[in-house]
Amino acid sequence: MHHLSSERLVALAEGSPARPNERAHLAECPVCAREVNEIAGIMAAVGAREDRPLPTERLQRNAQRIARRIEESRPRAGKVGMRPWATLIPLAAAAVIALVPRLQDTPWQWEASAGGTETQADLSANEFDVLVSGLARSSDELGIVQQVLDRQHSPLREIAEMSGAELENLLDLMEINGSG
Amino acid sequence: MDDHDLVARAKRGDRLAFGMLVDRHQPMVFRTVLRLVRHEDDALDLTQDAFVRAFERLSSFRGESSFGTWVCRIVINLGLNHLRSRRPTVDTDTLVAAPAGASNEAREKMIQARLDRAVDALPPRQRLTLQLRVRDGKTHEEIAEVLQCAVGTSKAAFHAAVMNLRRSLADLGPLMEEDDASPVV
Repeated sequence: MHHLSSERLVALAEGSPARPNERAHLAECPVCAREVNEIAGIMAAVGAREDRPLPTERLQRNAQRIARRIEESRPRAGKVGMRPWATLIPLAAAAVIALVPRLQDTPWQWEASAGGTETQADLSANEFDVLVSGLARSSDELGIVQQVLDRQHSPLREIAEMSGAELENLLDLMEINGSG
Repeated sequence: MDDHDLVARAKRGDRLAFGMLVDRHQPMVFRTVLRLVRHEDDALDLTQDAFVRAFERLSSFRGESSFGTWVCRIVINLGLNHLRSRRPTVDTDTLVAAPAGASNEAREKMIQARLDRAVDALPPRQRLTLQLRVRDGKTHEEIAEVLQCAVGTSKAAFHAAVMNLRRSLADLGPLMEEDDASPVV
């Protein structure tokens, strides 16, 4: 006769329903039946222990100390354990998604069209030129914006691969220019 | 006002709302960590630390669990870290049975003391799992949420705790009459 495993004995003692074969075994095996009862007895004894009464006055003083400490503390932004720039990813993604579709069909023409007449493609490129210039406050920033927007083919993948500094710079620029 | 509203207000910087959350949940948080660290002063300090940390990180609380469960997780982590820096203080070898012929009352007190010390001697996670399950009546799913572990891990810790207690108290015989224990089989 195989006795029940200790895992099953504990499970039965804590109230798990007995399977048919276990029920039959317990009816025949006084060893397992006694063990289940002993384990249940231990659990009942632990459950019957009385907690010490709460130190209510000390808890009240503790609450006052907590209040003082949070007066002095500053809530942190972002998710615990997250790199700070990671919260910027959705914003950057939204920005690039908004920009990329119109750029993908547009050949890059940074020069003005001849004769002062602008094609639709030229207009788009010019619009973009204005946008990029507007976003960037310096040549360094222009480089950053162009680096990001040149990665047209898979913006989400590229964003995922961007460094924290790149994201922060991009979002900083967007926020300053009201594009975020 | 329910916790959800208080948390929303606290997230906007309302410290009074956070104070109400402290009043509401401090007893449970304190009791949880007291069971873990067993020293009242330490438990009060850790409770303080847990609420301050919760306030500082409130923006990361997304309400996927209850506020109370979230703070309990924080205090349990703090408590476990606290215990790692300390050596166990309970020596189970010194636990002796009551002498033969002792009165029922003396025997009962002795059993109570033995039981308390045996529970205190359990590894912290086993102790907490046992108490959450047996004393608070939490399911393994609920324990797993508080302890941030798998349900199977909670069951394994519970099983280990019960087996350890059984070994520690083996010389006492059955702790309760069968009728009192009332196992469900």
